[in-house]
Amino acid sequence: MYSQNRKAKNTISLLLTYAFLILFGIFMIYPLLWVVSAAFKSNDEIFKSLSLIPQKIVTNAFIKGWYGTGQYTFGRFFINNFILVVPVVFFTITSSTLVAYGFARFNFPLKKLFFVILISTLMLPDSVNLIPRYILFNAFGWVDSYKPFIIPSMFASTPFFVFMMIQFMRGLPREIEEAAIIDGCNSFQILLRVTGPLCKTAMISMGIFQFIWTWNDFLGPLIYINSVEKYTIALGLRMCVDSAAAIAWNQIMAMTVIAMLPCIIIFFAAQKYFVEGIATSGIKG
Amino acid sequence: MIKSKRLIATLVLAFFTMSLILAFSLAGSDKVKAASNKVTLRFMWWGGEARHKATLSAIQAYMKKYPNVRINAEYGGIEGYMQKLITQLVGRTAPDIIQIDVTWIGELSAQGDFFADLKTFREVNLKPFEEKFLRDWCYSNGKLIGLPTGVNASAIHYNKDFFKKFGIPENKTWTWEDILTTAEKIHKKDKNYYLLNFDATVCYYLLKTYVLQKKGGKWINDDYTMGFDRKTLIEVFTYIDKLFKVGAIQPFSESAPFQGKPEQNPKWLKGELGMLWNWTSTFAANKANVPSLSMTMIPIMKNAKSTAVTVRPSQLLAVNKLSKNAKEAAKFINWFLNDKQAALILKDVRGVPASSTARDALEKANALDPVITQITSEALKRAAPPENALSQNQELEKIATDVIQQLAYNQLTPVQAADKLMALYKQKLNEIKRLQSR
Repeated sequence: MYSQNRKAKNTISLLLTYAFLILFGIFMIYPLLWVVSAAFKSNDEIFKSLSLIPQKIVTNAFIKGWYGTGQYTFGRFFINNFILVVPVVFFTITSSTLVAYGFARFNFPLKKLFFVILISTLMLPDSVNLIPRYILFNAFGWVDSYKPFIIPSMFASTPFFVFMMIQFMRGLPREIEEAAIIDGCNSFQILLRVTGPLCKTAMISMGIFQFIWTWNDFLGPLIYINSVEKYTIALGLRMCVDSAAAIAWNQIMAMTVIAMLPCIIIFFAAQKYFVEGIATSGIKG
Repeated sequence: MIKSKRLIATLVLAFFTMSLILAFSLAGSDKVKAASNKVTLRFMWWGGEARHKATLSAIQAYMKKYPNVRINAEYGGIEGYMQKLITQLVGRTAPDIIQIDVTWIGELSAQGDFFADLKTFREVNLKPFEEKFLRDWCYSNGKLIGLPTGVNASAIHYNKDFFKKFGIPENKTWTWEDILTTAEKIHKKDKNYYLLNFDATVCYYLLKTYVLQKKGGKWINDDYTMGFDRKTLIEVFTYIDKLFKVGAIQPFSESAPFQGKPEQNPKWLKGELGMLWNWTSTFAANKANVPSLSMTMIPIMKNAKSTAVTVRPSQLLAVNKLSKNAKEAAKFINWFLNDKQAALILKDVRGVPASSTARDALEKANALDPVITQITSEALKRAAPPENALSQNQELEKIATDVIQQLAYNQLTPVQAADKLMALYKQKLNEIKRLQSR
């Protein structure tokens, strides 16, 4: 009798938990579904109803939106985005890992000071150094190219990632590395053969973060990119949004759906590592 | 150990050297092609799809006509445009031809002297522009910093179907009294319908307009004093209060999500709201959502001291002072705004053209919406002088919209609202005076 009671209680609390989670999940995912459904709605219906099912299904929004103003298609903006994002992600991972390895495993003069500087740049809001950075990159002649994004990423310029990697590496047991030294590895071989592979999850989450942030970045490309042929998707999407003009919202929503796809695919493909990388950084050891 | 450290150092160095080499090879890849007598101009503007398409084909036509000129189009939405422009102006990388808004002139000239004086160029023909219009809007410190692309005026957009449903004549000249009585009748007939699609910002325009028509002069005088008295203010707040009480305006508690963007209110899109106070330049966009849309003049009092009708340039086209090809840029602007061929391509994507030659060409070709032409010319006839910067102050606007909202939610009576507004304005104006006289 007692155990039956408890069983019933458990089932009820489980049901309540699931009901809450499902409701909350719907609440969180509704905007996403709305964007998808809006891509199939006619333009005047978008603001009139909150319903997810279009009254009249319109499919040409994808085609029309893709051609945009006709000068460059969204295909161009997509390719641009990949040309920008892929090197940035690659260089961020390699350079941040290297710098973090140095901080986590080596002693060198002024290490503490450098670490404090690194952490303090983490606190600096991005907008503060926008103008000085622009003037600097302009003096280098990098404006209207992707260099202001790619080249800084070669120098571990996102302190958040360096910090995350340092914390992760500090959690790894030193004994493994010592064993590797006894086996005759030098420091670089240790990074390549031992520490690197152990950091895989953290590196993958770093990659996902950087991919999504760079993919969706609006202000950076807005400031640095002038030529429409070099526009990224974020700029392409807002190209036709003007307060005094008729806006084809369904076309913009359709292109938004397409623009979201790479992020969603990457996230789900690497979800396993991503969760692991976040959950284990800093608590191992 | 020492050996391995040296190896790491070498490898790290190698990595950075490689990155640097890559950086410089990237840098070399898009060197500008050296051209001798060819001129390349950069032209930056914001807008929607229609404006982009028309402007691009106008540029094509120009490059066909003058093959030695190449124009690079740099366009996008309004979002972030000013941020980018200021960064470019400060970084000295701004384009040769720049579209700017008249409301930015104050802020931009406070940052520096960025634009060339267009009246000094022989390439530009100023005759087709109304001189008073240029004087009022396009000069800063005696310099003609830009030419108007079009004429934009405040007007009332109304839904023809709505008017038909309630038997309101379309060719009516509205007065403030008419609005109140008509609105009351409509709301009594059907509880779902309201005559006015007004948010707090529009109520603030109404407030200013009413006061200016009654008193004349300025909303805020140049000496940081208010251009109105308590009695007038109580009168207009009583009027606004009545609008809410009789159901002329949809209660703010329902329309609050669309504060600042009343044209997106679903009730307006469904045709349950009759009138929207807006610019002539947004007419085409609003008509795309409400097909039976037309326009009329804003109400003007009998014996009004000022019409308070705002007529302003849609935007200005300016030439960058640092441009190496300023003359060519000026020549392009002249063609873009004054030429018949350009006008026929651009039509009204920047409002009704301000240049008379362009306007004539469009009228001859029947390329303008007659409603826009009619309202624009009527508004031009009754245009009030431009407001000073103080009267357009954003902080003062914020104070007024807050007070209006408190009135709308019945937290203040009209008399209290007037007193509160005056007290807060006095405080804020003193503050502004202190800051600006420093």
